[in-house]
Amino acid sequence: MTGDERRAPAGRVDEHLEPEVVADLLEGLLDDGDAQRAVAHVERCERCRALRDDLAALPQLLRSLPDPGPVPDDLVARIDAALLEAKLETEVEAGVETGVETGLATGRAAPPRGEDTGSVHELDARRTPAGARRWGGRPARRRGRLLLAAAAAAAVVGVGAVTVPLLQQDGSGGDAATSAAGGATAPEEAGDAAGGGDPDGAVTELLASGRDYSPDALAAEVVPVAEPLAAAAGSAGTGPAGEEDSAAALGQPEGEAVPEAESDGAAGAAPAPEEGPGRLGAEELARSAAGPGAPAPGDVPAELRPLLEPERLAACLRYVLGGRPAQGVTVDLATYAGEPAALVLVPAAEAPGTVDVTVVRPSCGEPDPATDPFVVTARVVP
Amino acid sequence: MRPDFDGVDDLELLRRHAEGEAEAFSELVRRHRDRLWHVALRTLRDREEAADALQEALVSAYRASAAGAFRGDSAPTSWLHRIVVNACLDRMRRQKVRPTVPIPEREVGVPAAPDVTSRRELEIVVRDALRQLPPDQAAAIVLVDLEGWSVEEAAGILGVAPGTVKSRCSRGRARLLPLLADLRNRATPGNQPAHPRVSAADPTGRTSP
Repeated sequence: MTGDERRAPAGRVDEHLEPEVVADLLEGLLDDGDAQRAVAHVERCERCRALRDDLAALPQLLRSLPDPGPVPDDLVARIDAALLEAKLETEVEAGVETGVETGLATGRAAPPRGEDTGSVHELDARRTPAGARRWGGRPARRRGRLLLAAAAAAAVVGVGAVTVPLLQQDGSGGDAATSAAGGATAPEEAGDAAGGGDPDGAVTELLASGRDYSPDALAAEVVPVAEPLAAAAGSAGTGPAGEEDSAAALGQPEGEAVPEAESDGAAGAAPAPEEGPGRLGAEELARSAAGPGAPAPGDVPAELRPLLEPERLAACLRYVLGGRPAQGVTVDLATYAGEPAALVLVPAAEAPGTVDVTVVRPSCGEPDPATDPFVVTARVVP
Repeated sequence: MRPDFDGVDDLELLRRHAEGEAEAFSELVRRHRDRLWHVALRTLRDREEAADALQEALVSAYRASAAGAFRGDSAPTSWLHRIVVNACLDRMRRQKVRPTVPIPEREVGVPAAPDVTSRRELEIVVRDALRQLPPDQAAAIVLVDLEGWSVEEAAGILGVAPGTVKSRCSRGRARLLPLLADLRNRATPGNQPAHPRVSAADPTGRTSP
């Protein structure tokens, strides 16, 4: 299937079947015409018949491998200790969070919802179903941090280039102090390299900066890209939003990641996109990204090229925005920690002048991604 | 002290855990940890990495379950497997050292009924070969071919359509077969390769399993 050397001489392609074709034949994945041709070939070709027999025997052979045995005792002990620690943490949080009121403490009931519920409820309603179902659930502990991060974010507005890690999946960072330190030395020249935003033009800026963002210095590195966006959002004259928006922005990293919100807890959690003045939904945002300003596919890491398609980009933006409208977004199709990743920058509705950056994997917007596209999100104050 | 969970099914265990009974989750882990361990062990580079992945995944599952996040739209075992497999896939994708081995000519197949000692050897060879597959394909093969999950069950664990599982298995087997033959040949004394394709010091992994 891949055009490697086995395929090279044109004549041989007809003579022998590719292993992939034979494997697909055995799995019943070929369409009728291809299957008939493959079967006919296998009938008269000894070599391909041998290949077919080997491939057919492979699953059984693999199944016959020796049982690796039970979990070693030392690992059993480790797991028990880790689960005990998780138990204690959960209990501590339950105590802490009761001080904030809410159903977060145990979260065992369907999240409360309704027009009159406070921001915290809103947050819980949005986050739990999506995160839980994609990745097996966000630890309760992180909710506690999230709330603290909200306070911290409010405290640092205007201080300079600072990020506040709102949520982190891989645990490699999450240290506000280091991020803030990195942010203080934002490289000036990077604005040009990134292409910058376009305050007067399209609300969506699609970039391929070619940059490798690092977990340790995301704040500094993202500032040049975030600056124009923050300025544009500010000039649109949207004042501070209310409580609901505050919750919305914090809930953003996972948002309403699973569109099929049929599960009980998710029902009603998806906010109706309010098309406020100057605020657009994911589809409009994605559409406005297309055009002469869009990066050439050749500049975009191969894994991320599907995101150049407006529909796919819209799906990814829905994932990041969680159904909420935004004044504008900037998407940088780049790499993060050496891995292809899209950085989605959105002006934080409740904190004018700040931008939330969410790093997602190339699977973002896939209908049913095998892995959680979410990597990390942080708030940048350019 | 330990409650008696005889006759309590997995769903009930998760329900009780969500209500605050931590021991119920431990019981669930006790029931399924061996199979979860096998998946981690067979997809990741070494035991230490597999151990880390399993521990991390189980803690993540614990927190999710304690928060009432398990919603019963899949069996608890599938759900646990999904969390473990995702943890392993994340790690596999981060392992950037996966050597790209040119797929050798397919002259030698794999004997259909190896004897016991060669099965031990084969296990090592399979593990090395699996590591050279794209992670998605390796995971599908581990679940379906090695662990014996049905295609539908594996699809539920991986969160993809059954057709996708079939396709990943198919592509993976097509890649795996020549790798097995190749690694096997080199693992056999006196059958040295004309041109080593894997630069690792000990491609059979026998001295450092």
